[in-house]
Amino acid sequence: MEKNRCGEPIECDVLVIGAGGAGMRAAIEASRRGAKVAIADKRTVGFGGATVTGLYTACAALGHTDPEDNWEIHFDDTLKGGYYVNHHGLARLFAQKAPEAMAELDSFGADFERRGDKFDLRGAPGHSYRRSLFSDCATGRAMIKGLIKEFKKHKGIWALEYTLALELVLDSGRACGAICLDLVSGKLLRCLARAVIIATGGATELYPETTAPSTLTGDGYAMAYKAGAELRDMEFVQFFPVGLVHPRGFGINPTIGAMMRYRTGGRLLNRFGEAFMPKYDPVRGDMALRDVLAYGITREIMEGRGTPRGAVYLDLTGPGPGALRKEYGSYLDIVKAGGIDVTKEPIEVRPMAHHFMGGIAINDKCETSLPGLYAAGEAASGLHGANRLAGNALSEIIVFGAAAGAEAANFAQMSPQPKKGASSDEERLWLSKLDYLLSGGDGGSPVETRKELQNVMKTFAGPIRDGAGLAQALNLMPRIEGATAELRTSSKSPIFNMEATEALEMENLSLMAKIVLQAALIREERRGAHFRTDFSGPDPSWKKNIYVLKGSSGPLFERRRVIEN
Amino acid sequence: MPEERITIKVQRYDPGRHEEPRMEAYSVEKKERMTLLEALLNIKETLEPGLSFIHACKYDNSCKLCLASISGKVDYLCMVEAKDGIEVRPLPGRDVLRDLVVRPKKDYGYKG
Repeated sequence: MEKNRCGEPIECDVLVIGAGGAGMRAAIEASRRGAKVAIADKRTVGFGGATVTGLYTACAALGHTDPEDNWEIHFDDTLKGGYYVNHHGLARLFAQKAPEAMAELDSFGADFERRGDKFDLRGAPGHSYRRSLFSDCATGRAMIKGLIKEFKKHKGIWALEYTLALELVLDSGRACGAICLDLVSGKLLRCLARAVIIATGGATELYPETTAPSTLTGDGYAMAYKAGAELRDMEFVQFFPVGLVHPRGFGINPTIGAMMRYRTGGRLLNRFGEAFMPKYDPVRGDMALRDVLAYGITREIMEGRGTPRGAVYLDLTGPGPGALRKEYGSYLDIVKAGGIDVTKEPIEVRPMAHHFMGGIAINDKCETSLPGLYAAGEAASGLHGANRLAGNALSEIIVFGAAAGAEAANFAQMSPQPKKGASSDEERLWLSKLDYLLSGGDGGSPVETRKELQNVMKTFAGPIRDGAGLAQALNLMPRIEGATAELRTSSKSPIFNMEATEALEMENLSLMAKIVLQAALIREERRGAHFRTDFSGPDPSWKKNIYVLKGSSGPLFERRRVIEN
Repeated sequence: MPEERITIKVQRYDPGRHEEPRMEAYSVEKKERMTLLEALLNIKETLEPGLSFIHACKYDNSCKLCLASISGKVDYLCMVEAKDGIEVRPLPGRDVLRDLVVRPKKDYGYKG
């Protein structure tokens, strides 16, 4: 074994892969319960994922602003928003636990906005009462700040930054760690654990325009799938309806339009100045849920009523400069310095890939179908059903992060230590693979191949899909898979070889693209974010979830009834 | 209308190949209010796939990972407009691993 190409193996009780909101909260919880925890992230703890970019809403039925609110209503709202294919146990746990989870996060140092000694809770579409916590115009940053403060108290947690998890290690059918790549040295790292938690976020990088970081390449989905764990709901991709197109700014969050229209109102207009949303949602109009908005805006653009930039207008000027200044304060100056004066002109927006409702199938203990493997946050599936409500993501990561941490720690305590150096075959295979990647030559560029895949997904698997298009996209996949298999880096050095990691991410993306396309083709109805023009819906016979399992010659798909107990 | 192109100079260093870092010039198509991060990603896509720099959040400067020395001043790649003649180097005073990537400061420390 090439000693100088492998780092010293790490042993711990609980290995967490992904250090965003869910991963950090899981690590903290497992550590609290006495587990020795290692947490790996391909960037840094707290800052490489989507959590820190979350702009505004984090929902929990605390009842501080509307005393009539309670967890049962939040549960009902979540199911209704998800078009009733949510996992009921997950939705119940989430609604019940969110208030205490978020209050605790506040005490860690997140410092959500208050009115007196109660939280200042705001409304968000789909929520029957005002239950959204927030912190100025940067809720995600505030949450990460609180998590880091608490995380730092647990000095025993090993933080493996710039460490890319490659493959789960299995021992007698149980997940017992991962083989990782230390980006700095280019060495392989074997991490052995008694339980593993995947909290790697989604796969929005399947699309060319996203609101989310470039790191979300579906690594956790791919790893779990390859190790034999089931995925679920992969056809349900949320497109953030009002992603910022123009004016382009510096340091401006692309979801700014939604935050502002929730707080101070906004009107969606097509190129003719028509308010078009009542056509698509006569009841909610501009306050329609994200799936209906994404559909309506996409239709307007597709049918020639979009702006010359291929977008629609979002006019936020209504309340007037005084009222806007009162609500947003100096944030308006930050936005103006970045190049946008929302008090004067409408912005242009269109749907952008934002969130995966689907992911690794979990139960209400965050257990996956693979013993020893847990999942939390966007990497997991079931809570949101066919469409996620605004505000449910930032709070669910805390609930399920904590739940996964607790369950994994318990499991670890009851489990034997995995056999040390169970197999060096896996490492040999990865070293060969890295050798090939780093062998130089005209392999083509991972970034270019990613763009090609993104264009296929945008064209055929965006907010509006049909069977012919999905089938056509699947026919284009062998070419992309072939190009991916031939990727080689222009540099032969393993030291911080980003091109190598981009090639590895490309493998994960192309695997996930096929699964998303096939699941979308199988679900022959329209429901939530999955809008099939060739079928109507929702269809009662489709009140099911599609599970995905690795078969001997590709993914196997199975319809199962929605879990309602 | 002919597209406008700008020239961006970037410090390159491949630990396997180069003794010393050196500046390379790249020509990119100028887009309206293009950030330097976008320009570098464009270079990766069209000219030089091996160009290495750390990024994540893309837009709102929340990840804080894309710091560099930009025409002599330390700033974030995502916060600076890509203009003709701009020069990008890694953060000064740090161990350069490759191109614009400097050895990360381990906040928590890898134990082992």
